[in-house]
Amino acid sequence: MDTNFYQLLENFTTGVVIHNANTEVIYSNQAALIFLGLSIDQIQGKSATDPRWQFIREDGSTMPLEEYPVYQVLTSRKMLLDLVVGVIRPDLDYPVWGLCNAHPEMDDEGNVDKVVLNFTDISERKQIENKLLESEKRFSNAFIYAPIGMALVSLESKFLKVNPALCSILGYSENELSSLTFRDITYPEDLDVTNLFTANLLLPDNKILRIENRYFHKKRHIIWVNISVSIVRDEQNQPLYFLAQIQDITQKKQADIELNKALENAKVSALSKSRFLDIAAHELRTPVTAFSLLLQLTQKKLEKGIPVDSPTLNRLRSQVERISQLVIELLDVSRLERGTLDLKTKPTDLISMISQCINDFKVHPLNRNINFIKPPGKIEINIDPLRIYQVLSNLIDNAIKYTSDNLPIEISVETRSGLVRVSVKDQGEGISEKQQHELFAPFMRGESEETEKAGGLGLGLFISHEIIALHGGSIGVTSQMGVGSTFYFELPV
Amino acid sequence: MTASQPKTILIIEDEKEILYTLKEFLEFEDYQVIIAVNGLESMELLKTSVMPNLILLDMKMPIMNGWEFAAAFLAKYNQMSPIIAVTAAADAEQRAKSINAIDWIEKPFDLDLLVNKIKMHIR
Repeated sequence: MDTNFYQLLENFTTGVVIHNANTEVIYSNQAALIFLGLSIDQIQGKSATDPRWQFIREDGSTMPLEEYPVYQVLTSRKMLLDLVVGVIRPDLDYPVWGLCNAHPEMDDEGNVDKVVLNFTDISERKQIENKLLESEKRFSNAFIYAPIGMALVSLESKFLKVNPALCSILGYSENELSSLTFRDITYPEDLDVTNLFTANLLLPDNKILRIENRYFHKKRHIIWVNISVSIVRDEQNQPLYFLAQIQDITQKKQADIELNKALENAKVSALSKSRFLDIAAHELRTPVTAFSLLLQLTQKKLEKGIPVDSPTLNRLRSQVERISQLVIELLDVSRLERGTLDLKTKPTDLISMISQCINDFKVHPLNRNINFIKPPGKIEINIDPLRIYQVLSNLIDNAIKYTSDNLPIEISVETRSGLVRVSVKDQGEGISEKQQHELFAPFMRGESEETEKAGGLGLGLFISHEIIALHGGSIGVTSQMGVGSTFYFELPV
Repeated sequence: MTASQPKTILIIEDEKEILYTLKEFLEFEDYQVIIAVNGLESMELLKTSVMPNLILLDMKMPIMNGWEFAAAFLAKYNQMSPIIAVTAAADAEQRAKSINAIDWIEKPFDLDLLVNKIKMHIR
C-alpha cells in the first residue's frame, strides 16, 4: 500500500488496525490508537495475544482468543461483519465498545497475508442501550412485584404480558391468560362500555382512562375491578399496546351493595310505616265518624223527647267494637314487635273450635254461606285456642270480604305426617304471585278496588303468620286469578 | 223552608252506618233524602229520581269513586247540583276543589256544622 493511502487512513475517524498472518500489528491509525488508549510504540509489532489489551463480549464476559476478530478471519478466511467488541483499557475502569468489521487480504498463492480491522466507537450508543436495559429491568420488576394486577394488552385485546397479582385476581395462570383476550373475561353487560372505552383510548389525545367493571373469575364468579389503562405509542405516535392496572374492588363493591340494600330497606320500611299511619287514621276515622254521628243524632232525638231505643244502642256498640278490634290489632303488632306475645297453650279439640268459629260467623249480620267439610271425631292438639281462633276468624273474615255475596266459602281439615292443615277456600278474584309474597308482611294488603272496599289495617295476615309461627307451624296461600284463593295453616299434631 | 216544598239531598257514601245515620238525621231535619252506596248506583238512581238540590259526596268509594261520579254527572246532565265533599282524607280541601265542590267537610264532623253548610249551599 502506498504512502498516500496510509495518509488517508490517518485522517479516518474509523479505527483501522492491520495484522500480519502471525497476528502482529503492522499498522494502526490515529483513530485506533485513541480508541484503544495506546501509543504507537505500545501496539506496533505486538501480537493479538499481548496482555496489554483484553477484549470482552457484549454480555460482559471475557472473549476467548479464538473469537478475536483477527483469529476469526484467519480461521474462516472470510469477512467478519458487525462484531461488538468491548475493550478493557489499562487507563479506564469501564470498557469502551467498538463495532468491528474485518477482512482478509490474500497473497498470490491464496494464503491469508494480512487481516484488516476497522472499528467504530459505539460506547455512547452502548451506554444508552444499557440505560434502556436498566430502565426496562426496573419496569419489569415493578410489573412483576406490583401489588395490583398489571397487563400489557395488544390492540386486538390479547394479553401479551400479565403479572402474578393479576393472575391471582382472575384465578388463571400466566399461560392460560396468554391465550385469552380481556373480552373473554369481561362480564357481557360491561362489554359495550369496554368497547367504547378502548375506542376512546385510541383517540390521539387520550393518555389514560379509568373504568369500573366486572370480570369473570376462572371459577365463573364475578369480580368487580377498577381498571386504569394507558396507551403506549411509538415514536410516530402510533398506538402499540395498552398498559392496564387492575385493582380488585369486589369487597368494596359488595359493601356498597349491602349498604344500598340496607338504605333501600330502611326507605321501604319508613314508607310502609307512613302508609300504615295513613291507613290506621283512615280506618279509625270511619267507625269513629259513624259512632259520633249516631251519638249526635240520638242526643238530638232525646232533646225532642224521642227516647233511645235498643237497636240504636246496638248500632253504637257495634261501632265501638270495630274501634276496639282495631286497637287490639295494633296492640298485637306492638307485642309481636317487642316479642312479648305469649301463648297460653292447652290440649284443644281443633274440630269443635272450628265449628264454634263458623257458628259465630253465622250469627254475623252478613250471614254468609260457609261450608265446613267436617271430618269424623276429634283432633286434639296443644294450642292457644283463642289465638288459633283469631287466625281462623281472620282467614274467614278475609274470605268473606273478598268474595261476592252468596258464593260459598269452604273450610276443610286434613291430617298427614304429623301435621294438621286447615284450609279456607274462597271464590274471590285471586291474588297475583307478587302480592302472595307480600301478604304476610306487616302493613301489606293486596292492591285492588276490592281491598280498598274491604278496608282494615292490613295487619291480620301478619299477626296470623306470627301466631302460627309461635306454634311451630306454617301459613300460606295458593291462588289462581279469576278462580279464587285458598289460605291454609298447618300445625304440628 | 216550607213543609210544602221539601228539598232533596242525595247522599253517596259506601259506609252504611254513616249513610243510614245521615239519612235519618236529614229526614229528621225535614229534608227529602235519597241514597246510594257508590257513584254508579247514584247514576242509576238519578235516571228515575228528582234532580237533588244538593249532594253529599264521599270521595273514596269502590266501583265509582267521587271524582268519577262528578265527571259522569256533569257529562250526562250538563249541569251540576252543588256538591259538599265528605272525606276522611288529610287533603280534603284539595280533593273538594279537584271536582269543583262548593264546600267540604272532614270526617268525623258535627251535625250542626253539616246543617249550616247545607242551608248555606242548597238551591
